[in-house]
Amino acid sequence: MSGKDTWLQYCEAIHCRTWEVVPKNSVNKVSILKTQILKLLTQAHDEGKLKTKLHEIHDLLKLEQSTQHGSDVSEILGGQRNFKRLREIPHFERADGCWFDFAILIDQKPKPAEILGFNFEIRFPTDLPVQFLRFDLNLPGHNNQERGMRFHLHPGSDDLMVHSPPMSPLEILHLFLYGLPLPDKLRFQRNDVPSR
Amino acid sequence: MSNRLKFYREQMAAFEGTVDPQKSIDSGYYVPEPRKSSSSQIARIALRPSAKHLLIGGIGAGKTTQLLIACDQLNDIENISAHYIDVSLHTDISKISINTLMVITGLLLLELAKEYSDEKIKEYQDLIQKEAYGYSEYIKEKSFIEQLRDPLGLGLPHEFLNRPTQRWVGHQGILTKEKSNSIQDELKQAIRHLNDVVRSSYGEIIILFDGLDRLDDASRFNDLIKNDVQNISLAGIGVVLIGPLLTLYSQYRDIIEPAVNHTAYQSCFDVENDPESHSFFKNILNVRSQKDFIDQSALLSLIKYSGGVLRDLINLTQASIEEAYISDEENLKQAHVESATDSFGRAKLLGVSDQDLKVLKQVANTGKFVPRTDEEVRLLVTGRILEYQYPVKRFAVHPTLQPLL
Amino acid sequence: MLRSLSSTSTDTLLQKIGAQPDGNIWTVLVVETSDIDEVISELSETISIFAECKIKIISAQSGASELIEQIVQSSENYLLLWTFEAWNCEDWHHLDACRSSLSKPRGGMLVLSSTSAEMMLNCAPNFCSWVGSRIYALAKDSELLTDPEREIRLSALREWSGFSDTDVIASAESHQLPLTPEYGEWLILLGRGDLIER
Repeated sequence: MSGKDTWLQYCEAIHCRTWEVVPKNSVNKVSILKTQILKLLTQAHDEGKLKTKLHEIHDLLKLEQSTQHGSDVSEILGGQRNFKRLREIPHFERADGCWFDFAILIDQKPKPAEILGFNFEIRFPTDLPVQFLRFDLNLPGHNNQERGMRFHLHPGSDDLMVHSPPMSPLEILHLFLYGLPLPDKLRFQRNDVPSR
Repeated sequence: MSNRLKFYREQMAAFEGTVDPQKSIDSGYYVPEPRKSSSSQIARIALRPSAKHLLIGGIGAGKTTQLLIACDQLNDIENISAHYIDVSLHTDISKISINTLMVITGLLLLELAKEYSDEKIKEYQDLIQKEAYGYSEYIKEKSFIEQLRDPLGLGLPHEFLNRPTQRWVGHQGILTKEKSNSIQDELKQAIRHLNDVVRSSYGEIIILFDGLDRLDDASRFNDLIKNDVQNISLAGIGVVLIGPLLTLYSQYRDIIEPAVNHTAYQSCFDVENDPESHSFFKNILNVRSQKDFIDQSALLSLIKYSGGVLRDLINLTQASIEEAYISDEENLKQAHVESATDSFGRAKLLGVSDQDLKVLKQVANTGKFVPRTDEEVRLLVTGRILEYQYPVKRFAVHPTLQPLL
Repeated sequence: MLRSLSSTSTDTLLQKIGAQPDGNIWTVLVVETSDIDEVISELSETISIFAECKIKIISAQSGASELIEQIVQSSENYLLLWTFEAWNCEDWHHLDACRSSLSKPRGGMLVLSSTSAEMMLNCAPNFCSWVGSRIYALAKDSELLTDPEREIRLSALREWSGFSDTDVIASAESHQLPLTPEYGEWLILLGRGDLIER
């Protein structure tokens, strides 16, 4: 067996270890999840963690529905699509300057509803070695799944992906708001970036 | 809890318009009214304890607060025992009938007399409780055959009759049904006796009845005055009650006012023309709000747009604080008041007919208003038109409605 | 009539409820008659998230006496009341007269049609005095993407991928569309969520 084959086996094992322990990606209803997200963002704002104002949260947190052709698929949108990572494009912003956006696709036909996929990306101030983290849940059937990577983390690169225990949208949002505090002093300082 | 949310909740909690007025008084929020307040007028009842006093005013004018203050003032006087009762908590006011206030009085006196063991008291207790809460009894009635064979009830030999039947019959109490039972004389005696018994321990009893301002039927209120209030007073008990505003504009005004010893009016405060009223409202806001939380211009707007109606001041302030929270501000600004005021005025405009609109515009333009029809009285009762008694008697459209007319 | 009232989105309404302190605060939400069922269904699931307490939904269909009885008997802190469409002025008078019984630790909300709201304003002035300015018309669907917002997202996706909408639908129909969330979103924005692979 080649090293690559061994790696694929490991991927499968990691997939089983992580996916079978974690409950399925289900949610009662889109409206409930959206409201829970609204509550979390509102609370973070009130606590001084989220700089985005309350009325701005409404403008950024949106819903899209596709109910034609017998489907009932919705998407919860948090901020605009920002492939180029431009600060001018509307996004959520933490008090310390980190900023993020997200999109969650949900199929409401099964009961409970099923989360089909999502992107959650948080971007850091420029002096940090890692510029962004993105958590992706690809749609069912993606070939990543064969590598146990349907849910994966991009550690500052669109091309590199790392296994990650699946997290729910609310867990990721909590991570973004409360779980990634910027250090006062970096352990490792890049030479080409002025120190903070 | 987050700091910002905690802060705003604390600010809003100080301005709760639906709170039991007693809580507001206990929280230290009570600010004495300028000049002679209704409570001080009511407290005059102490001079003649079995008198009858009526307090009339618009919704949200502060009647319950005045009643509670008067109750406290009366209880500070030796040999007087004043008791506040919200009638709406005991019975459905929309269906209230005569004898209801007498029954409630009876229940209060029974409670005061519970230390006494007296056969008469036990007898009256049974009477009053049955009348209040109802009772069930077995009734013997003729069987069907008996009714056929002996329709006149002359009595037939036993062998011709079936055994009579018995059944439980429930009688509803006056507090739960519309029509009273006719045992008024017994009730009167019961109340008189019980009052005599408790007087030695409690002194002169005065009852302050709240809630009747929510009656929408002046005729029913008139019946209560003529019957219950008179009888309670004749038993030696003082009565203070709040009456519906529409009484003033009904055919019963000239019957009701002479039937009581004193009528006090709790009208709106003319914050526009009376500096003392304006200061009074300013003091209310200052005593409840954190220092410097309300901008000066916002404070003046709140007073203006309240129209001098106490509850509207409190409600508008709370709603404005809510707007300030949603707007992410650190304090209450005029823009927040304007937003809450706009919402308030639009709500008041809902359900206004074209004819109502004509009347409102006329009042806004001329200040003159003589309510003649039910619809015109309703404009007063619903607070779309406000009446002021001091410094001059006048009418005005609620200030939140003015910009929308 | 709805146009003359202040309007609120569901999100703002929920944030306001979340900000309210403990206390008997009542709100009236006026909606189109055809939307009442859907609004009740949504609010019944979402209000508790912001009110942070159990809520009880009570129908007023059986009249004022029954409603008041249910309110008095309920142990929940926040009430959601609806089905007032059959009420007449006398029913509202009745509720108004029993206003003291409508006391809950967190208050509640009435969901009404505009006709019912007008009747309430005229026949229940004491209750309306409690409500004050908290009578809103619901700006339903304000949280949905507008057409311009949808187009902005589609433009971003087109620029990023180099594909057109037609390309994406054709790929999806031939089961060759990359199954990343971005393409899933693209299909939803085009109203073809049915083509997302399961």
